[in-house]
Amino acid sequence: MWAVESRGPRGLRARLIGAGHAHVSPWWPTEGGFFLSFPVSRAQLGPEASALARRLEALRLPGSVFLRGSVVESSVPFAGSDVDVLLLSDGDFRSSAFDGLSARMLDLKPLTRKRLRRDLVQHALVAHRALRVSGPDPALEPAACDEEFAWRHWLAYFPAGLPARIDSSDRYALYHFKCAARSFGVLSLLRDGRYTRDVDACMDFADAISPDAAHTLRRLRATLERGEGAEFSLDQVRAELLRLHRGLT
Amino acid sequence: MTKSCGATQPGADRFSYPSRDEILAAIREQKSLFDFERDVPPSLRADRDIVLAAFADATIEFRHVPTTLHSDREVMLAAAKCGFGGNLEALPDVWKDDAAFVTELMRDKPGCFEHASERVRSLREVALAAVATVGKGVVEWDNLRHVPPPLNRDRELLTTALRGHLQAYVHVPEDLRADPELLALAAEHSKGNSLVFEAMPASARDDREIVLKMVSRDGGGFEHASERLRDDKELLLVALAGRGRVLQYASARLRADPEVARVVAASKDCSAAFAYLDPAVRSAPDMVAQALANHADLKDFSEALRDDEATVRIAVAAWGRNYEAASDRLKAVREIALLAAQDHTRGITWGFDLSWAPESLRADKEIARNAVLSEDSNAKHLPQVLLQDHAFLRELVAANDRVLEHLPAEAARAVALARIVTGAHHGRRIVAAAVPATGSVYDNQRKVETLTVEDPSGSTLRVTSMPVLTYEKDGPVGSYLSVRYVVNVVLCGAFVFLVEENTGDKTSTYRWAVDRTSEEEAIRTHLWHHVYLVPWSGADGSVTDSFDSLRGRSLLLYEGRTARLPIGVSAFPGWNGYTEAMSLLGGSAPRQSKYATTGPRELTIAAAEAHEVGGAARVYVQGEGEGRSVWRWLIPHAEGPRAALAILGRTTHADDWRWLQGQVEGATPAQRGLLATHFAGVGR
Repeated sequence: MWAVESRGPRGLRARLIGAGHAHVSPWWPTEGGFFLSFPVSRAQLGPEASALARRLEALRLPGSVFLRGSVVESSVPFAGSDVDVLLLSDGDFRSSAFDGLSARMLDLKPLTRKRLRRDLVQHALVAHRALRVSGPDPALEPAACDEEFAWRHWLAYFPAGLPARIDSSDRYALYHFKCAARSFGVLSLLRDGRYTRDVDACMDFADAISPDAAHTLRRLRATLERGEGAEFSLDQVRAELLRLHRGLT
Repeated sequence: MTKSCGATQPGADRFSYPSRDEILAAIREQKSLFDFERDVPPSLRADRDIVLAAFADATIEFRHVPTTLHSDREVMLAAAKCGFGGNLEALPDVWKDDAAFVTELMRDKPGCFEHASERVRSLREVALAAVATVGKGVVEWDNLRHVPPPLNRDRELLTTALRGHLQAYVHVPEDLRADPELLALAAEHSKGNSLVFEAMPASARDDREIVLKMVSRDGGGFEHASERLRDDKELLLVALAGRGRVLQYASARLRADPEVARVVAASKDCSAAFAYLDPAVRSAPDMVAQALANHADLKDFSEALRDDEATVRIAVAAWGRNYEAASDRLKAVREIALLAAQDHTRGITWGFDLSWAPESLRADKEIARNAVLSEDSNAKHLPQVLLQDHAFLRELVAANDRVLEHLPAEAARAVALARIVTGAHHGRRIVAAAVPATGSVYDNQRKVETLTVEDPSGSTLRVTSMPVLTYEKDGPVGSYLSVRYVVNVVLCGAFVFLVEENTGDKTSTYRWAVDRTSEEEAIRTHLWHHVYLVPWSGADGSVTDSFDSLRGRSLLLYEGRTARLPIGVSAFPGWNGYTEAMSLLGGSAPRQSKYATTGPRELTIAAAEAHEVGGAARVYVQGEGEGRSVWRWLIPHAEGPRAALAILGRTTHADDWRWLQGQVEGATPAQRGLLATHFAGVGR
């Protein structure tokens, strides 16, 4: 019986978190101890993603351009989702170049090879969970499915840094929810050798190994999706994540 | 489709158009990436095979279909099948009025019935097919609503619809809703559906058999039963078995019924229903204990019972939250407060709140300890006398370190500071002190309480409120994706530096800055690193300063986009230093870490190889004019860092080398290599 104090509805919002209509497994495929490349080709993209890919291609940006997230993992990206665009280039760019590219909000993430060399998390996203839509193949080394990978992702999601309490109307609440949920993806990798950062798959795993924490996170998620304001206690979720991690390392 | 792209752009006449076969091959190959409007030359846009192939595999909007094909049934069928619910709406009216066409389309796209002409929707066979498709696919198409009168009164059509869609009954014409057969079907197929029950005529909502069916699933719909049946005890008991809250809709007579009260008291859903019982039956002696055990709320009992010690003991033993409703007289009884505080033994949180207890009992260690173990936020209600009892606080923290979140900062620091200690460098070391498990971001920063440079002379430089991670204001604060600076105190040679290392990430703040100002200004504001020389040496004695103040009086050596930073010893090296240290202090234990756990709240990190020789630090200094910004050696000076920097400004590489020559003999191979590399390319 973990506490939640509702402050009343603010009306229904579109589904915010998680990818409906996923046409690719949320679990990252591996072979021989390494993650495999992203198992989606341009031919499999839905109409919206296809159109966006074409428009990005037409920009003729320097470097390589990737799409990732629900826009490429779902045949029908969920309402309200933004579009994650990764730009792997050593040059600068102007964001105005992307004006009018999509009705959705574009989340542009410029990256350099230097950055990827020191950031395994971003490297793994580009190498294994993003679809190149223009520019040359950067021929990135595959990431090893190992403890180092798990540890770097654990630090990125930083469950030890989760706030004890959070108001779901706080602008960072969604981020903290995702971090907490995705920490379960790392625990899945440590326990079962299967990694995902898909929120739904992470929550399913959480249900299996920590029903109480999963229950709290699901309530937080529902509140976020409904656009309600409610205060949640995350300290027990944090303690549970750290306890489970201790047991698996 | 390189050719076709070229063909649609200026200067297209320099290219040849792709052939029909090339277009068809491209559609097969590129599928949804193929754009009919962009990739098909005007001369081929009326080609039937190309249009059909585009509808089957590629991206094509109906407006691009030439009118010459609007009469082609196969093309129109392909066009109408596009999209989730079909696209009959976009087709010429003639197809919406073609019964065979609509019927065929409905096999794949049942939702298209809505857009058929009224004439077609009025055809019995078509409408029957439409309502018979319900329940197929992801969406249950509720097509009965689109059947025009008088066909929507057809008995076979209505019964077919009611057998299919859960809520079809709400679209049955009002004057037919009392039909016994239709009502029975609705009651059978729509159990518990509140909308359907509400749509039933008053006579049906007063029909005991129908109401029994409707509420039998989970009590849902009881509120729509007639007033007479909401006074039917048997029906109420059936509904109550599903959900306790329906009691609020029951008649006043039943809410005062002792048998109903006993059922509620014994129900697992007692907490939801109990408050709706008539006050007269809530306090029946034979059910009070059972109701309280099933989490009835003590505040719903009479004032007399809330002052009855036996009742209150049962209530708080079931749920500490009931302590709040006890009389003031009983709240002051120590045993009752202690019993209430023990929610942790019952697996309950969100229960006892220490602030409800009188001051004298809040200072009772046993009560306070249990209260905090039950709900760590009770730590914020600890009285001053316990906050000053550090042994007691340590005991609480040892049992549940989440209480740190709720202790006043001073008390938390006093009992739970963790230390991150670096290896020694020229006899100096850095000791960072932080309260782990607080997990919070303040002012877009994650800070450590203090960061102290301990000099072998015994003097210290103590930096308070030291931000280690600074986040972009508009990014997901707390995310590694929005870290702007990693800030460290760096020991290098005889010197101490403040280094604000920029992640170089172009976050959304940066992008917006680019749009508002110039690219150069945005880079300066968002992407530059900063290096400061701290004007302190061990000879200056011990100094305590806030981070902001210390930075303000330190000497700016370098700022720029390229990472020309002094390399030395720091407590939080790399992008993950802080998160790694805090994760370890939180209990994570990876096989490999740059930190070693050397105590319950202590980490050590080995001193990194610094870019220094004999105490001289290799630094990048910025000067006016060509060739004045260079890597140099900051040579130790007896009068401290300011004097060392002043001399550097008046000397040259040759002077650096003359001093360093005397250090080569005692230098490590790595330091010799550094010197060789440096002087091989001085000035760059």
